[in-house]
Amino acid sequence: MKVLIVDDEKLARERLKQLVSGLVPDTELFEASNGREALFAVNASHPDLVLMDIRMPIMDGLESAMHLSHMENPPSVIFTTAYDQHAVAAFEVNAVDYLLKPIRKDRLETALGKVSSVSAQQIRQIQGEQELASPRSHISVQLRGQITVIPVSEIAYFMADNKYVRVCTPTERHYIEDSLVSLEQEFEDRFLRIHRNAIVSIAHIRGMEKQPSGRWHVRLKDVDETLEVSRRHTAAVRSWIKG
Amino acid sequence: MIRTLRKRYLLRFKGAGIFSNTVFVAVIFALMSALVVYRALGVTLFSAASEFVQIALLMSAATFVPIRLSYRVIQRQSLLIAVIISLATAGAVAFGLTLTVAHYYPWPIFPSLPWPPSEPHLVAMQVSLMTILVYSLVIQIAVSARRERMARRMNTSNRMKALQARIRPHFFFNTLNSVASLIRSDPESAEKAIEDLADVFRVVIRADRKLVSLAEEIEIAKQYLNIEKLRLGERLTVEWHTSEDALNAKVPSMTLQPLLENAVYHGIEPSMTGGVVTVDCSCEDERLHILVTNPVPELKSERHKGNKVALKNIQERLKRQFGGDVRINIRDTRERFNISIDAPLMHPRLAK
Repeated sequence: MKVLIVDDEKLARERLKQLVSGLVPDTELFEASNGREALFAVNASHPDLVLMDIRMPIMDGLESAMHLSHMENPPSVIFTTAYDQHAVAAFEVNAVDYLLKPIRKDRLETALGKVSSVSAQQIRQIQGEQELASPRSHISVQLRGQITVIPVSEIAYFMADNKYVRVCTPTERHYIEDSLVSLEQEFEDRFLRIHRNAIVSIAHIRGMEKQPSGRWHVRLKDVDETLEVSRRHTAAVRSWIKG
Repeated sequence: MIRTLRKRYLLRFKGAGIFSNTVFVAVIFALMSALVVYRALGVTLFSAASEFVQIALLMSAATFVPIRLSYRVIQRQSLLIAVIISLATAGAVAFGLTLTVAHYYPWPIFPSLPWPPSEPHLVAMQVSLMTILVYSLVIQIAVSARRERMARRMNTSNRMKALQARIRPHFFFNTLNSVASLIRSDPESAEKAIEDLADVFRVVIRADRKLVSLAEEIEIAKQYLNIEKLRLGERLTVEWHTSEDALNAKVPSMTLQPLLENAVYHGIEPSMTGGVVTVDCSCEDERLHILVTNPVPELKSERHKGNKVALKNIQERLKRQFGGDVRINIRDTRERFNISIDAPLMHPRLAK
Protein backbone atom coordinates (compact mmCIF):
# COMPACT_ATOMS: atom_id res chain seq x y z
CA MET A 1 0.00 0.00 0.00
CA LYS A 2 1.16 3.53 -0.75
CA VAL A 3 0.35 6.21 1.80
CA LEU A 4 0.88 9.95 1.42
CA ILE A 5 1.22 11.95 4.65
CA VAL A 6 0.39 15.64 4.36
CA ASP A 7 1.13 18.00 7.24
CA ASP A 8 3.01 21.25 7.53
CA GLU A 9 4.58 20.21 10.83
CA LYS A 10 7.55 17.90 10.55
CA LEU A 11 6.95 16.25 13.91
CA ALA A 12 3.37 15.48 13.03
CA ARG A 13 4.54 13.76 9.84
CA GLU A 14 7.20 11.83 11.76
CA ARG A 15 4.63 10.52 14.17
CA LEU A 16 2.28 9.37 11.44
CA LYS A 17 5.16 7.68 9.66
CA GLN A 18 6.09 5.81 12.83
CA LEU A 19 2.50 4.74 13.39
CA VAL A 20 1.69 3.70 9.84
CA SER A 21 4.88 1.74 9.30
CA GLY A 22 4.35 0.07 12.67
CA LEU A 23 0.89 -1.07 11.65
CA VAL A 24 1.50 -2.00 8.03
CA PRO A 25 5.23 -2.78 7.69
CA ASP A 26 5.41 -2.97 3.88
CA THR A 27 3.85 0.45 3.31
CA GLU A 28 5.48 2.86 0.92
CA LEU A 29 5.39 6.25 2.59
CA PHE A 30 5.41 9.66 0.92
CA GLU A 31 5.33 13.10 2.47
CA ALA A 32 4.09 16.53 1.55
CA SER A 33 4.04 19.69 3.64
CA ASN A 34 1.00 21.48 2.25
CA GLY A 35 -2.05 20.92 0.09
CA ARG A 36 -0.38 21.91 -3.14
CA GLU A 37 2.63 19.69 -2.57
CA ALA A 38 0.18 16.90 -1.86
CA LEU A 39 -1.24 17.25 -5.35
CA PHE A 40 2.26 17.07 -6.86
CA ALA A 41 3.02 14.01 -4.75
CA VAL A 42 -0.19 12.33 -5.89
CA ASN A 43 0.82 12.95 -9.51
CA ALA A 44 4.26 11.49 -8.93
CA SER A 45 3.50 8.48 -6.77
CA HIS A 46 -0.22 7.64 -7.05
CA PRO A 47 -0.85 6.77 -3.39
CA ASP A 48 -3.82 4.66 -2.32
CA LEU A 49 -4.44 6.74 0.77
CA VAL A 50 -3.79 10.35 1.76
CA LEU A 51 -3.65 11.36 5.42
CA MET A 52 -4.43 15.05 5.17
CA ASP A 53 -4.01 17.79 7.77
CA ILE A 54 -6.57 20.57 7.47
CA ARG A 55 -4.86 23.81 8.41
CA MET A 56 -1.81 24.24 6.22
CA PRO A 57 -0.16 27.16 4.46
CA ILE A 58 -0.48 27.80 0.70
CA MET A 59 -3.36 25.36 0.21
CA ASP A 60 -5.38 23.87 3.04
CA GLY A 61 -6.37 20.22 3.29
CA LEU A 62 -10.00 20.70 2.35
CA GLU A 63 -9.14 22.46 -0.89
CA SER A 64 -6.48 19.90 -1.72
CA ALA A 65 -8.97 17.07 -1.20
CA MET A 66 -11.41 18.94 -3.39
CA HIS A 67 -8.92 19.03 -6.26
CA LEU A 68 -8.13 15.35 -5.71
CA SER A 69 -11.80 14.41 -5.84
CA HIS A 70 -11.98 15.55 -9.45
CA MET A 71 -9.43 12.90 -10.48
CA GLU A 72 -10.53 9.80 -12.31
CA ASN A 73 -9.27 7.42 -9.67
CA PRO A 74 -8.88 9.56 -6.58
CA PRO A 75 -6.99 8.18 -3.59
CA SER A 76 -8.83 7.69 -0.30
CA VAL A 77 -8.55 10.68 1.99
CA ILE A 78 -8.57 10.72 5.78
CA PHE A 79 -8.38 14.12 7.41
CA THR A 80 -6.28 14.71 10.52
CA THR A 81 -6.78 17.64 12.83
CA ALA A 82 -5.65 18.75 16.26
CA TYR A 83 -8.58 20.86 17.25
CA ASP A 84 -11.30 22.04 15.01
CA GLN A 85 -14.72 21.85 16.60
CA HIS A 86 -16.53 22.95 13.49
CA ALA A 87 -14.65 20.75 11.06
CA VAL A 88 -15.16 17.71 13.24
CA ALA A 89 -18.88 18.32 13.46
CA ALA A 90 -18.99 18.70 9.69
CA PHE A 91 -17.06 15.47 9.16
CA GLU A 92 -19.50 13.60 11.34
CA VAL A 93 -22.46 14.94 9.44
CA ASN A 94 -20.98 14.13 6.07
CA ALA A 95 -19.54 10.74 7.00
CA VAL A 96 -16.01 11.77 6.12
CA ASP A 97 -13.17 9.96 7.88
CA TYR A 98 -11.03 11.99 10.21
CA LEU A 99 -8.51 11.40 12.98
CA LEU A 100 -7.89 13.61 15.97
CA LYS A 101 -4.32 14.45 16.90
CA PRO A 102 -2.51 13.09 18.81
CA ILE A 103 -3.58 10.17 16.70
CA ARG A 104 -4.27 6.89 18.48
CA LYS A 105 -2.86 3.74 17.07
CA ASP A 106 -6.11 1.75 17.20
CA ARG A 107 -8.08 4.53 15.54
CA LEU A 108 -5.54 4.73 12.76
CA GLU A 109 -5.69 0.97 12.31
CA THR A 110 -9.46 1.09 11.88
CA ALA A 111 -9.18 3.97 9.45
CA LEU A 112 -6.52 2.21 7.38
CA GLY A 113 -8.83 -0.78 7.09
CA LYS A 114 -11.56 1.17 5.36
CA VAL A 115 -11.08 2.65 1.95
CA SER A 116 -13.17 5.73 1.55
CA SER A 117 -12.96 8.42 -1.04
CA VAL A 118 -14.23 11.90 -0.41
CA SER A 119 -16.44 13.55 -2.97
CA ALA A 120 -16.33 17.19 -3.99
CA GLN A 121 -19.92 17.37 -2.85
CA GLN A 122 -19.01 16.30 0.69
CA ILE A 123 -16.20 18.83 0.90
CA ARG A 124 -18.40 21.61 -0.34
CA GLN A 125 -20.88 20.77 2.38
CA ILE A 126 -18.18 20.70 5.02
CA GLN A 127 -16.92 24.08 3.90
CA GLY A 128 -20.47 25.36 3.80
CA GLU A 129 -21.25 24.18 7.31
CA GLN A 130 -18.14 25.83 8.64
CA GLU A 131 -19.07 29.03 6.84
CA LEU A 132 -15.69 28.74 5.26
CA ALA A 133 -16.80 28.52 1.68
CA SER A 134 -13.86 30.69 0.77
CA PRO A 135 -12.65 30.96 -2.80
CA ARG A 136 -10.13 28.37 -3.89
CA SER A 137 -6.50 29.47 -3.78
CA HIS A 138 -5.75 27.39 -6.88
CA ILE A 139 -7.52 26.15 -9.99
CA SER A 140 -6.83 22.55 -10.88
CA VAL A 141 -6.79 20.96 -14.31
CA GLN A 142 -6.85 17.22 -14.95
CA LEU A 143 -4.74 16.04 -17.82
CA ARG A 144 -4.10 12.37 -18.54
CA GLY A 145 -4.48 11.41 -14.90
CA GLN A 146 -2.24 14.23 -13.71
CA ILE A 147 -3.33 17.27 -11.75
CA THR A 148 -1.97 20.66 -12.69
CA VAL A 149 -2.63 23.50 -10.31
CA ILE A 150 -2.57 27.17 -11.15
CA PRO A 151 -2.51 29.71 -8.30
CA VAL A 152 -5.46 32.05 -8.69
CA SER A 153 -3.12 34.99 -8.06
CA GLU A 154 -1.31 34.21 -11.33
CA ILE A 155 -4.40 34.02 -13.49
CA ALA A 156 -4.84 37.04 -15.76
CA TYR A 157 -8.31 36.22 -17.04
CA PHE A 158 -10.99 33.59 -17.59
CA MET A 159 -12.67 33.51 -20.97
CA ALA A 160 -15.62 31.45 -22.12
CA ASP A 161 -14.63 29.32 -25.11
CA ASN A 162 -17.26 27.05 -26.57
CA LYS A 163 -18.26 24.62 -23.84
CA TYR A 164 -15.23 25.36 -21.69
CA VAL A 165 -13.63 28.24 -19.89
CA ARG A 166 -10.11 29.20 -20.85
CA VAL A 167 -7.81 29.98 -17.91
CA CYS A 168 -4.97 32.26 -18.94
CA THR A 169 -1.87 33.23 -17.06
CA PRO A 170 0.85 35.30 -18.74
CA THR A 171 2.59 32.05 -19.70
CA GLU A 172 0.01 29.27 -19.76
CA ARG A 173 -3.48 28.51 -20.89
CA HIS A 174 -5.74 25.70 -19.77
CA TYR A 175 -9.35 24.67 -20.18
CA ILE A 176 -11.70 23.96 -17.30
CA GLU A 177 -15.32 22.95 -17.09
CA ASP A 178 -16.51 25.48 -14.52
CA SER A 179 -19.00 28.07 -15.67
CA LEU A 180 -17.92 31.67 -15.99
CA VAL A 181 -20.81 32.76 -13.79
CA SER A 182 -19.77 30.51 -10.92
CA LEU A 183 -16.15 31.64 -11.28
CA GLU A 184 -17.27 35.25 -11.22
CA GLN A 185 -19.18 34.61 -7.99
CA GLU A 186 -16.40 32.65 -6.35
CA PHE A 187 -13.72 35.23 -7.12
CA GLU A 188 -15.81 38.38 -6.96
CA ASP A 189 -13.15 40.11 -4.86
CA ARG A 190 -10.39 39.51 -7.37
CA PHE A 191 -11.98 39.42 -10.80
CA LEU A 192 -13.99 41.93 -12.77
CA ARG A 193 -16.49 41.19 -15.53
CA ILE A 194 -15.54 43.03 -18.74
CA HIS A 195 -17.57 41.19 -21.30
CA ARG A 196 -20.25 38.55 -21.59
CA ASN A 197 -17.46 36.06 -22.22
CA ALA A 198 -14.65 37.24 -19.92
CA ILE A 199 -13.66 38.16 -16.38
CA VAL A 200 -10.21 39.62 -15.71
CA SER A 201 -8.00 39.73 -12.66
CA ILE A 202 -8.18 43.13 -11.02
CA ALA A 203 -4.54 42.89 -9.98
CA HIS A 204 -3.51 42.36 -13.60
CA ILE A 205 -5.33 45.33 -15.13
CA ARG A 206 -2.90 47.92 -16.49
CA GLY A 207 -5.23 50.24 -18.33
CA MET A 208 -7.86 50.79 -20.99
CA GLU A 209 -7.27 51.86 -24.57
CA LYS A 210 -9.56 52.78 -27.42
CA GLN A 211 -9.22 50.71 -30.59
CA PRO A 212 -9.50 52.23 -34.10
CA SER A 213 -12.86 50.49 -34.31
CA GLY A 214 -14.08 52.62 -31.43
CA ARG A 215 -14.24 49.74 -28.97
CA TRP A 216 -12.50 49.88 -25.63
CA HIS A 217 -9.96 47.18 -24.70
CA VAL A 218 -8.17 46.43 -21.42
CA ARG A 219 -4.46 45.85 -21.29
CA LEU A 220 -3.29 43.25 -18.79
CA LYS A 221 0.09 42.93 -17.10
CA ASP A 222 2.50 40.64 -19.00
CA VAL A 223 -0.19 39.69 -21.52
CA ASP A 224 0.37 40.67 -25.16
CA GLU A 225 -3.19 40.65 -26.41
CA THR A 226 -5.79 43.12 -25.23
CA LEU A 227 -9.30 42.06 -24.29
CA GLU A 228 -12.45 43.70 -25.55
CA VAL A 229 -14.67 45.46 -23.04
CA SER A 230 -18.33 45.34 -23.98
CA ARG A 231 -20.34 48.56 -24.00
CA ARG A 232 -22.38 47.39 -21.06
CA HIS A 233 -19.30 47.03 -18.89
CA THR A 234 -17.23 49.98 -20.12
CA ALA A 235 -18.44 52.40 -17.48
CA ALA A 236 -17.89 49.93 -14.63
CA VAL A 237 -14.38 49.00 -15.77
CA ARG A 238 -13.41 52.62 -16.31
CA SER A 239 -14.65 53.69 -12.90
CA TRP A 240 -12.74 50.81 -11.37
CA ILE A 241 -9.49 51.87 -13.08
CA LYS A 242 -9.95 55.47 -12.00
CA GLY A 243 -11.05 54.61 -8.47
CA MET B 1 -38.44 41.07 48.75
CA ILE B 2 -38.63 42.38 45.21
CA ARG B 3 -37.55 39.05 43.84
CA THR B 4 -40.26 37.12 45.72
CA LEU B 5 -42.76 39.70 44.65
CA ARG B 6 -41.78 39.24 41.06
CA LYS B 7 -41.74 35.50 41.32
CA ARG B 8 -45.03 35.17 43.14
CA TYR B 9 -47.26 37.96 41.99
CA LEU B 10 -46.22 39.19 38.61
CA LEU B 11 -46.84 37.77 35.17
CA ARG B 12 -44.30 35.13 34.39
CA PHE B 13 -45.39 33.78 31.04
CA LYS B 14 -42.95 33.88 28.16
CA GLY B 15 -42.54 37.41 26.89
CA ALA B 16 -44.01 39.01 29.99
CA GLY B 17 -41.75 42.01 30.07
CA ILE B 18 -41.77 45.37 31.65
CA PHE B 19 -44.67 46.54 29.45
CA SER B 20 -47.17 43.86 30.31
CA ASN B 21 -46.24 44.05 33.95
CA THR B 22 -46.79 47.79 34.01
CA VAL B 23 -50.31 47.32 32.70
CA PHE B 24 -50.81 44.49 35.14
CA VAL B 25 -49.82 46.59 38.15
CA ALA B 26 -51.88 49.54 36.91
CA VAL B 27 -54.95 47.34 36.49
CA ILE B 28 -54.63 45.93 39.99
CA PHE B 29 -54.17 49.40 41.41
CA ALA B 30 -57.25 50.65 39.56
CA LEU B 31 -59.25 47.64 40.71
CA MET B 32 -58.35 48.29 44.32
CA SER B 33 -59.22 51.95 44.06
CA ALA B 34 -62.56 51.15 42.39
CA LEU B 35 -63.36 48.63 45.10
CA VAL B 36 -62.59 51.14 47.84
CA VAL B 37 -64.75 53.74 46.15
CA TYR B 38 -67.62 51.29 45.72
CA ARG B 39 -67.53 50.00 49.27
CA ALA B 40 -66.61 53.05 51.32
CA LEU B 41 -68.33 55.85 49.41
CA GLY B 42 -71.30 53.86 48.21
CA VAL B 43 -71.26 55.15 44.64
CA THR B 44 -73.10 53.25 41.93
CA LEU B 45 -71.54 50.16 40.38
CA PHE B 46 -71.35 52.01 37.08
CA SER B 47 -69.33 54.84 38.59
CA ALA B 48 -66.97 52.41 40.26
CA ALA B 49 -66.40 50.58 36.96
CA SER B 50 -65.82 53.90 35.27
CA GLU B 51 -63.23 54.81 37.88
CA PHE B 52 -61.53 51.46 37.36
CA VAL B 53 -61.25 51.86 33.59
CA GLN B 54 -60.12 55.44 33.81
CA ILE B 55 -57.42 54.89 36.39
CA ALA B 56 -56.13 51.81 34.61
CA LEU B 57 -55.89 53.63 31.28
CA LEU B 58 -54.38 56.76 32.75
CA MET B 59 -51.71 54.94 34.67
CA SER B 60 -50.78 52.64 31.83
CA ALA B 61 -50.46 55.59 29.51
CA ALA B 62 -48.47 57.60 32.00
CA THR B 63 -45.99 54.81 32.61
CA PHE B 64 -45.72 53.60 29.04
CA VAL B 65 -44.16 56.77 27.74
CA PRO B 66 -41.24 56.96 30.16
CA ILE B 67 -40.61 53.22 29.88
CA ARG B 68 -40.26 53.61 26.16
CA LEU B 69 -37.92 56.54 26.70
CA SER B 70 -35.76 55.08 29.39
CA TYR B 71 -35.54 51.50 28.20
CA ARG B 72 -32.22 52.01 26.47
CA VAL B 73 -30.86 53.99 29.37
CA ILE B 74 -31.84 51.21 31.77
CA GLN B 75 -30.14 48.69 29.54
CA ARG B 76 -26.95 50.67 29.63
CA GLN B 77 -27.11 50.48 33.38
CA SER B 78 -26.76 54.17 34.19
CA LEU B 79 -29.23 53.25 36.88
CA LEU B 80 -29.61 56.39 38.93
CA ILE B 81 -30.04 58.61 35.90
CA ALA B 82 -32.44 56.16 34.29
CA VAL B 83 -34.60 55.99 37.39
CA ILE B 84 -34.66 59.74 37.96
CA ILE B 85 -35.49 60.47 34.34
CA SER B 86 -38.22 57.88 34.10
CA LEU B 87 -39.87 58.73 37.42
CA ALA B 88 -39.86 62.41 36.55
CA THR B 89 -41.33 61.70 33.14
CA ALA B 90 -43.97 59.39 34.57
CA GLY B 91 -45.00 62.04 37.09
CA ALA B 92 -45.06 64.79 34.51
CA VAL B 93 -47.07 62.77 32.01
CA ALA B 94 -49.62 61.74 34.67
CA PHE B 95 -49.91 65.32 35.90
CA GLY B 96 -50.41 66.68 32.42
CA LEU B 97 -52.91 64.01 31.44
CA THR B 98 -55.05 64.47 34.51
CA LEU B 99 -55.00 68.23 34.20
CA THR B 100 -56.03 68.04 30.57
CA VAL B 101 -58.77 65.59 31.38
CA ALA B 102 -60.00 67.71 34.24
CA HIS B 103 -60.22 70.75 31.97
CA TYR B 104 -61.70 69.27 28.85
CA TYR B 105 -63.36 66.02 29.75
CA PRO B 106 -67.05 66.61 30.42
CA TRP B 107 -67.63 63.22 31.97
CA PRO B 108 -67.12 62.90 35.72
CA ILE B 109 -63.78 61.35 36.29
CA PHE B 110 -63.09 59.79 39.69
CA PRO B 111 -66.53 59.54 41.29
CA SER B 112 -64.71 59.69 44.60
CA LEU B 113 -63.84 63.32 44.04
CA PRO B 114 -66.12 66.32 43.69
CA TRP B 115 -66.53 67.09 40.03
CA PRO B 116 -65.59 69.29 38.39
CA PRO B 117 -62.75 69.51 40.91
CA SER B 118 -62.28 72.79 42.60
CA GLU B 119 -58.55 72.26 42.53
CA PRO B 120 -57.59 70.40 39.37
CA HIS B 121 -53.92 70.89 40.24
CA LEU B 122 -54.26 68.97 43.46
CA VAL B 123 -56.04 66.10 41.73
CA ALA B 124 -53.38 65.98 39.07
CA MET B 125 -50.73 65.99 41.76
CA GLN B 126 -52.39 63.05 43.50
CA VAL B 127 -52.62 61.04 40.33
CA SER B 128 -49.04 61.75 39.35
CA LEU B 129 -47.80 60.71 42.79
CA MET B 130 -49.70 57.45 42.52
CA THR B 131 -48.23 56.86 39.10
CA ILE B 132 -44.72 57.48 40.35
CA LEU B 133 -45.33 54.98 43.11
CA VAL B 134 -46.55 52.29 40.74
CA TYR B 135 -43.86 53.03 38.27
CA SER B 136 -41.00 52.95 40.73
CA LEU B 137 -42.16 49.51 41.82
CA VAL B 138 -42.18 48.23 38.26
CA ILE B 139 -38.81 49.77 37.48
CA GLN B 140 -37.24 48.23 40.53
CA ILE B 141 -38.52 44.85 39.51
CA ALA B 142 -37.22 45.26 35.99
CA VAL B 143 -33.80 46.25 37.21
CA SER B 144 -33.48 43.38 39.63
CA ALA B 145 -34.57 40.93 36.91
CA ARG B 146 -31.98 42.35 34.58
CA ARG B 147 -29.23 42.07 37.16
CA GLU B 148 -30.07 38.47 37.79
CA ARG B 149 -30.03 37.69 34.09
CA MET B 150 -26.69 39.40 33.61
CA ALA B 151 -25.13 37.54 36.47
CA ARG B 152 -26.29 34.20 35.13
CA ARG B 153 -24.96 34.92 31.70
CA MET B 154 -21.60 36.05 33.06
CA ASN B 155 -21.25 32.83 34.92
CA THR B 156 -21.60 30.47 32.01
CA SER B 157 -20.38 31.86 28.74
CA ASN B 158 -17.94 34.48 29.94
CA ARG B 159 -15.95 32.17 32.10
CA MET B 160 -15.49 29.84 29.15
CA LYS B 161 -14.58 32.71 26.89
CA ALA B 162 -12.09 34.01 29.39
CA LEU B 163 -10.45 30.64 29.57
CA GLN B 164 -10.21 30.27 25.82
CA ALA B 165 -8.90 33.78 25.50
CA ARG B 166 -5.95 32.73 27.59
CA ILE B 167 -4.78 29.98 25.31
CA ARG B 168 -5.93 28.39 22.07
CA PRO B 169 -7.00 24.75 22.34
CA HIS B 170 -5.44 24.36 18.93
CA PHE B 171 -2.03 25.09 20.46
CA PHE B 172 -2.56 22.61 23.28
CA PHE B 173 -3.51 19.64 21.10
CA ASN B 174 -0.87 20.32 18.48
CA THR B 175 1.74 20.41 21.22
CA LEU B 176 0.59 17.07 22.59
CA ASN B 177 0.88 15.68 19.09
CA SER B 178 4.45 16.96 18.75
CA VAL B 179 5.36 15.48 22.10
CA ALA B 180 3.83 12.13 21.15
CA SER B 181 6.05 12.18 18.11
CA LEU B 182 9.19 13.13 20.04
CA ILE B 183 8.85 10.51 22.74
CA ARG B 184 10.37 7.85 20.54
CA SER B 185 12.68 9.85 18.31
CA ASP B 186 14.02 12.38 20.80
CA PRO B 187 13.01 11.62 24.41
CA GLU B 188 15.07 14.47 25.81
CA SER B 189 13.27 17.08 23.74
CA ALA B 190 9.97 15.48 24.66
CA GLU B 191 10.83 15.79 28.32
CA LYS B 192 11.80 19.43 27.93
CA ALA B 193 8.63 20.18 25.99
CA ILE B 194 6.48 18.70 28.75
CA GLU B 195 8.30 20.79 31.35
CA ASP B 196 7.81 23.95 29.32
CA LEU B 197 4.17 23.14 28.72
CA ALA B 198 3.64 22.56 32.44
CA ASP B 199 5.20 25.92 33.31
CA VAL B 200 3.16 27.76 30.73
CA PHE B 201 -0.06 26.12 31.87
CA ARG B 202 0.62 26.80 35.52
CA VAL B 203 0.61 30.49 34.71
CA VAL B 204 -2.28 30.27 32.27
CA ILE B 205 -4.73 28.61 34.62
CA ARG B 206 -3.82 30.67 37.65
CA ALA B 207 -7.00 32.47 38.52
CA ASP B 208 -5.52 35.64 39.99
CA ARG B 209 -3.72 37.96 37.71
CA LYS B 210 -1.08 39.29 39.99
CA LEU B 211 1.68 41.61 38.95
CA VAL B 212 4.97 40.02 37.97
CA SER B 213 8.22 41.48 36.77
CA LEU B 214 8.67 41.75 33.04
CA ALA B 215 11.65 39.41 33.38
CA GLU B 216 9.35 36.63 34.65
CA GLU B 217 6.88 37.38 31.90
CA ILE B 218 9.64 37.07 29.30
CA GLU B 219 10.70 33.76 30.81
CA ILE B 220 7.23 32.27 30.36
CA ALA B 221 6.94 33.71 26.88
CA LYS B 222 10.24 32.08 25.93
CA GLN B 223 9.08 28.72 27.23
CA TYR B 224 5.95 29.09 25.17
CA LEU B 225 8.03 29.93 22.10
CA ASN B 226 10.26 26.89 22.68
CA ILE B 227 7.18 24.72 22.33
CA GLU B 228 6.09 26.50 19.18
CA LYS B 229 9.58 26.11 17.74
CA LEU B 230 9.28 22.35 18.12
CA ARG B 231 6.26 22.40 15.86
CA LEU B 232 7.23 25.09 13.44
CA GLY B 233 10.96 24.49 13.28
CA GLU B 234 12.85 26.99 11.19
CA ARG B 235 9.70 28.78 10.19
CA LEU B 236 9.70 30.61 13.52
CA THR B 237 12.41 33.11 14.42
CA VAL B 238 12.05 35.50 17.32
CA GLU B 239 14.11 38.63 17.85
CA TRP B 240 14.19 40.10 21.33
CA HIS B 241 15.23 43.65 22.17
CA THR B 242 14.89 44.27 25.87
CA SER B 243 16.41 47.15 27.77
CA GLU B 244 17.80 46.46 31.25
CA ASP B 245 15.59 48.95 33.07
CA ALA B 246 12.44 47.42 31.57
CA LEU B 247 13.17 44.04 33.11
CA ASN B 248 12.18 45.17 36.60
CA ALA B 249 8.96 46.82 35.53
CA LYS B 250 5.81 45.20 36.87
CA VAL B 251 3.20 43.94 34.46
CA PRO B 252 0.06 41.84 34.90
CA SER B 253 0.83 38.18 34.50
CA MET B 254 0.05 36.90 30.97
CA THR B 255 0.72 40.17 29.20
CA LEU B 256 3.24 38.99 26.65
CA GLN B 257 2.32 35.38 25.89
CA PRO B 258 -1.10 36.06 24.32
CA LEU B 259 0.44 38.68 22.04
CA LEU B 260 3.08 36.20 20.92
CA GLU B 261 0.53 33.46 20.43
CA ASN B 262 -1.43 35.83 18.24
CA ALA B 263 1.70 36.71 16.26
CA VAL B 264 2.56 33.04 15.69
CA TYR B 265 -0.99 32.06 14.78
CA HIS B 266 -1.55 34.83 12.25
CA GLY B 267 1.97 35.64 11.09
CA ILE B 268 3.96 32.40 11.08
CA GLU B 269 1.66 29.40 10.82
CA PRO B 270 -0.08 30.44 7.61
CA SER B 271 3.21 30.85 5.77
CA MET B 272 5.36 28.04 4.43
CA THR B 273 8.57 30.01 4.81
CA GLY B 274 7.65 31.51 8.17
CA GLY B 275 9.24 34.73 9.32
CA VAL B 276 10.49 36.81 12.19
CA VAL B 277 8.49 37.86 15.22
CA THR B 278 10.01 40.79 17.05
CA VAL B 279 9.55 41.81 20.67
CA ASP B 280 10.75 45.18 21.94
CA CYS B 281 10.54 46.17 25.60
CA SER B 282 11.85 49.52 26.78
CA CYS B 283 11.28 52.31 29.28
CA GLU B 284 11.03 55.99 28.56
CA ASP B 285 9.69 58.91 30.60
CA GLU B 286 8.34 56.67 33.33
CA ARG B 287 6.41 54.63 30.80
CA LEU B 288 6.83 51.04 29.69
CA HIS B 289 6.69 50.29 25.97
CA ILE B 290 6.13 46.81 24.61
CA LEU B 291 5.96 46.25 20.88
CA VAL B 292 5.27 42.89 19.24
CA THR B 293 5.34 42.61 15.46
CA ASN B 294 4.81 39.75 13.06
CA PRO B 295 4.94 39.40 9.27
CA VAL B 296 1.68 39.46 7.35
CA PRO B 297 1.40 36.52 4.94
CA GLU B 298 1.50 37.74 1.39
CA LEU B 299 -1.48 35.95 -0.05
CA LYS B 300 -4.79 36.75 1.48
CA SER B 301 -5.76 33.11 1.24
CA GLU B 302 -2.78 32.26 3.40
CA ARG B 303 -3.99 34.35 6.27
CA HIS B 304 -5.88 32.68 9.03
CA LYS B 305 -9.39 33.86 9.14
CA GLY B 306 -9.09 35.95 12.24
CA ASN B 307 -12.37 36.95 13.78
CA LYS B 308 -10.36 39.40 15.88
CA VAL B 309 -12.08 38.02 18.96
CA ALA B 310 -8.82 36.85 20.46
CA LEU B 311 -7.23 40.22 19.90
CA LYS B 312 -10.20 42.06 21.32
CA ASN B 313 -10.16 39.87 24.41
CA ILE B 314 -6.48 40.52 24.94
CA GLN B 315 -7.01 44.23 24.55
CA GLU B 316 -9.90 44.34 27.00
CA ARG B 317 -8.08 42.30 29.58
CA LEU B 318 -4.90 44.36 29.41
CA LYS B 319 -6.85 47.58 29.67
CA ARG B 320 -8.61 46.29 32.75
CA GLN B 321 -5.47 45.03 34.41
CA PHE B 322 -3.16 47.90 33.66
CA GLY B 323 -5.78 50.39 34.71
CA GLY B 324 -6.88 53.53 32.99
CA ASP B 325 -3.71 55.03 31.67
CA VAL B 326 -2.69 52.37 29.16
CA ARG B 327 -2.62 52.81 25.42
CA ILE B 328 -2.87 49.75 23.19
CA ASN B 329 -2.16 50.50 19.59
CA ILE B 330 -2.65 48.22 16.61
CA ARG B 331 -1.11 49.02 13.26
CA ASP B 332 -1.72 46.68 10.35
CA THR B 333 0.51 47.52 7.41
CA ARG B 334 0.91 45.50 4.25
CA GLU B 335 4.07 43.81 5.49
CA ARG B 336 3.84 43.70 9.26
CA PHE B 337 1.26 43.59 11.97
CA ASN B 338 2.24 45.69 15.02
CA ILE B 339 0.66 45.72 18.43
CA SER B 340 2.07 47.99 21.09
CA ILE B 341 1.37 48.57 24.76
CA ASP B 342 2.26 51.86 26.34
CA ALA B 343 1.66 51.80 30.08
CA PRO B 344 2.73 53.80 33.10
CA LEU B 345 5.81 52.30 34.66
CA MET B 346 4.95 50.43 37.85
CA HIS B 347 8.03 50.22 40.02
CA PRO B 348 8.52 47.22 42.27
CA ARG B 349 8.28 49.38 45.37
CA LEU B 350 5.06 51.01 44.24
CA ALA B 351 3.32 47.84 43.24
CA LYS B 352 1.73 45.88 46.02
